[in-house]
Amino acid sequence: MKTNTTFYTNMILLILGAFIFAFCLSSCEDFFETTIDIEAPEAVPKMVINTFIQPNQDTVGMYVGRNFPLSSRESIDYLAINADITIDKLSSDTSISVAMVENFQNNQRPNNYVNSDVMEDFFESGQEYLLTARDIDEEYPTTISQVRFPTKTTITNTIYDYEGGIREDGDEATSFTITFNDPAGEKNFYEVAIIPDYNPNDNQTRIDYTSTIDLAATKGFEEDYILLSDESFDGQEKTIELKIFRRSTDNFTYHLLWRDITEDYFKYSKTLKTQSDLGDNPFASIAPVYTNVENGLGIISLYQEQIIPLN
Amino acid sequence: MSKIILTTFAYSLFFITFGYSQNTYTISGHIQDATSAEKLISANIYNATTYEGTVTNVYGFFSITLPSGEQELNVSFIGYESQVLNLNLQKDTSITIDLSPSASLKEIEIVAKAQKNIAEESQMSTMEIPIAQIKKLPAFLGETDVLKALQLLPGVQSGGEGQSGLYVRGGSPDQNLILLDGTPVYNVSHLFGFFSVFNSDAIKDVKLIKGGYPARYGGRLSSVLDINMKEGNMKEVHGAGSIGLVASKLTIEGPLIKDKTSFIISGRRTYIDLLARPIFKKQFEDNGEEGSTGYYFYDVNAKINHVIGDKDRIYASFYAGDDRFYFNVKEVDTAVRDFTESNIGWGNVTSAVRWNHIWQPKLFSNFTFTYSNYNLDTKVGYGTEFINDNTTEEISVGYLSGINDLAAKIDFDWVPNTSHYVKFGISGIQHEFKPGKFRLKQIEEDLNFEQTLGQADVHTQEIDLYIEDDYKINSKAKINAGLHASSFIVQGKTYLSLQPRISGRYMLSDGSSLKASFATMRQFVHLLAFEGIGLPTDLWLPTTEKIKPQDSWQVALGFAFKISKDYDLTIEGYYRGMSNLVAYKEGSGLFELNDWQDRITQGGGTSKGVELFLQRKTGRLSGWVGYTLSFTDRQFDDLNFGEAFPYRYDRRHDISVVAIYEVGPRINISATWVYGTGNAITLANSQYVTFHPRTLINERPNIANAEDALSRNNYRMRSYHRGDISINFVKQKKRHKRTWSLGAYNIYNNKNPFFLTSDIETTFDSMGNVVEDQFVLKQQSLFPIIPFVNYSFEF
Repeated sequence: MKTNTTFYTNMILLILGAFIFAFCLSSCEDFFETTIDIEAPEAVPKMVINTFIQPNQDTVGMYVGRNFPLSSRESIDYLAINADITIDKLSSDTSISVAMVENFQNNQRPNNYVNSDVMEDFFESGQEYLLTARDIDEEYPTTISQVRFPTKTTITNTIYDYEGGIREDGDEATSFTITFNDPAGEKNFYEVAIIPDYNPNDNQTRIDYTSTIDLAATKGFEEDYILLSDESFDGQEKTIELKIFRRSTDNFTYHLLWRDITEDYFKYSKTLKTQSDLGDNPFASIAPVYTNVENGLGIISLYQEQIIPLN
Repeated sequence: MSKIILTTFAYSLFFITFGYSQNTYTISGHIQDATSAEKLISANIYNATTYEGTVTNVYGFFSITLPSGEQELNVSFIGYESQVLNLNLQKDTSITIDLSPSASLKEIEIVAKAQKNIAEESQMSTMEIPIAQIKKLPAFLGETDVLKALQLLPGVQSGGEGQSGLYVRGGSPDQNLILLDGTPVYNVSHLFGFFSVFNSDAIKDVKLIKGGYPARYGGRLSSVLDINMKEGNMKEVHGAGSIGLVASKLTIEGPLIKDKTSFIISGRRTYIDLLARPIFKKQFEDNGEEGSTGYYFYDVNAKINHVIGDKDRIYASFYAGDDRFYFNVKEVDTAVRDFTESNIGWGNVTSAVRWNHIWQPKLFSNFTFTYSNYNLDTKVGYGTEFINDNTTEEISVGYLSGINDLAAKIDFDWVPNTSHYVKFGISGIQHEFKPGKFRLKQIEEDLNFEQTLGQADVHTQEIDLYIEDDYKINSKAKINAGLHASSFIVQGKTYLSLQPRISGRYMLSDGSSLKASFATMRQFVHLLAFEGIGLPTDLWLPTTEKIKPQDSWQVALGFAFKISKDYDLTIEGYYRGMSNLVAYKEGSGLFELNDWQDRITQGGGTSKGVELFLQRKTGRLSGWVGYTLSFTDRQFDDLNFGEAFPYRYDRRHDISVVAIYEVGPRINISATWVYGTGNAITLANSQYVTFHPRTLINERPNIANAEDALSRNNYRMRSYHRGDISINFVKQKKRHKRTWSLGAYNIYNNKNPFFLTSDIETTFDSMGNVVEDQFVLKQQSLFPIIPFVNYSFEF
């Protein structure tokens, strides 16, 4: 009997103690706070280099900047760094340097490094190049990129159809059927779009949103364009149908914008889109953006561009 | 290769059968609980002089062949009084042995298979936790959870705070073969992973195999979790139940025909929705609406066990469980009434019919027919009711996915002598995969539109065969060697695989043994999941012509040592290689209409580690310390630019400490402490400006802000540690035994990481100008200290 009494007394004291304990805790405002600030990872300093080069260019422009902490909001105008930039043509001993633009004007953005005196045959189709960037102040690691011009594709046929059916979003469409020969034995990648009112002298030219249901196609960061990989049609003649929204007037010439691009650029564009699309998805982790700039960020893209009238 | 293997087996069988003296007889039968006639699994029966013996299988059956003459047999099972049988063996004998439960259970009953006694088995990396022990451990919100108890073992991790998913030796939860009475269960969690679907009151036995898998198991890469339901008391009606903060449960078992047919039925349901219903009702009424909202889950287990005769027994078992979230609201008191209906439901149904037949004293068989189903069904819709003209406009979207399995199998146990225990069998499974469909519905004045879009169902057939032999070479050496063959037929393509398995032990001394194992596994089903939490949207998918089956191989080496009478130590090292694992491609997600095969990518991975398990089994204070050092990575050509990256649950250090103290016969205190290296996540460390080359006609490039994440899973969250405590007050009343359990989860209120968020916090001056932008990283925790109280009873 005595044991029972002691047991129940102890139990009551225990429960009472638990209530007092819980009461004390609840009076501490921060005790049940479930969000705490933690230290953000430190930024690893890197140079950012972006350039897009075609064969036979006599001027090469590029953006040379730096990354910056997540905690700051900085304008592109203040990100440039002072660097030595050289481009070596690997099949010969020739090289060029690209210098920072003095008195950089807003209309030159974002290419803050330019060489407007490139030798005529320096950038050649099929050739390989090494781009080296050294930070003069040595705050950022030296970057290197080795890239090769992709093979130029031959467009063998184009068909224009003003009343080209219905797009996948239900809008009436104008369609363009493009046939080309994919070079065999190598990975090839393309970026394609339709220009509705191309005029070389008009700076208002715009790309129309171009779509296709072809399974080899995908979208990159710039959604008006289509990206193509030849994984499923390597070395074959390929036909692809492109569609744009049907315009009410048809008194101009549609043009095909065709770019042979590198695998690096294909990955860069796709991963940049992926990161951009993830946005605030609570279940998604950030997706890394591809770069071919070793020790740095950005993209060195060598490509070949064709603009072909369609109608 | 196949010919060599088959020939080897044929010779082996001949040798096993005829290579021994014929002057022997077989004792066979069942070992069962004397009070309930519940069959005892892995009970020992052995010759007291020669120590030759065997253990019961999952149906309590044993068969032991010994020389004729006087035999003294020891029969033992942890928690039961041992028995000595003296027999004059002159013919094959069939007996049923009743063991009585010990008056007091003082041993902690984690059974490491590497220990002496049980170490007689050649299998390694196997752990068993009796349910009685699981019930003593601290439980989240007082709800005893089998899977969370398993997470306290070395080599087994939880995915995140409160989650019941198992990550075994670097594998993912879908790589665990989870069997309930031999039937695979696909979704093992309730409430987004915070509770497992297994009701501990209905469970008899839990066994986890982390490596060195016997050949009888197949179909998953990482582990086998074999759960057996109770059979039901053959002698008298008993019951158990509990009332907790979250759920209540009740179990009734007893004989339908005494000593011939028994039943058990167990149910559990949460009731937060019922308690909150008046509050929500009032809130809806205040807004001029009527409706209901809430969440609940329930599960039901039932089983019937019928003894047809000495040689035949039949079991029928059933499980059903469902989770349901609902939000339905409608305006009232107006002529035009808007309404919203949202329902998310998911759940499993499994059922099994099994027939045991003893063909002869040495040959036991079990025929099994199983059905397993998992379904996710969601619907979100809104509309308007026009009261005056009695019409309704409605638009809704539903999403459905699931998997159905129909299977038949036959397993044989053949025990030719005390040196061999042969198991072989065959099974066939018809899978039906539903990889995700959208159901669209729109009803308007002149429109009645209803359409189902999405992925076509996939039907596949799987056939598995196995044979294994537990072979005692001599008093020191024993091996378990086997072969598992499987074929999977899908879309006109057949995948074949031969999976050799071998494990063995060598006794170094009476108290220590060395063990080693090698196993290959193949998995034909894939789970596409968002890493982190057990969402019901996780999608089960088949191997197809395009998506290859997952493969793995694992090698393990272990050492078991009895330090003293009270302490045992086990150390195991392992290495596992995995290939054709599946993951979402970067940027792909669940709710897309394109072919699911285009949304996923396949790659490989490795996991290696060392596990240490120090256990005190006897005395008032019992428990264990588990430590795991591990390294796990993944490599996918389409992820992280083809570079290997740490698996999200790559946990360098994982520690668990479990202690149970028997204060007296009526009070016991238990405490657990766990520590784990933080999960690996992908986090940006800087940002930069980049762009797209719009090189046309003076058009400027399209500038984008990007973040640099270095590589996938480059950042470690803070380490996780937590202590839980529980005090159980047990009292035997006149007609029942009751237990009050008090305790707390996360007793020292550690703010453990659940996920991270980031934001830019802007400071303004008095004029409203921006003074500073500050990037802040915030860690969100889920559970602070959570006390619990639970009342349970048995009668």
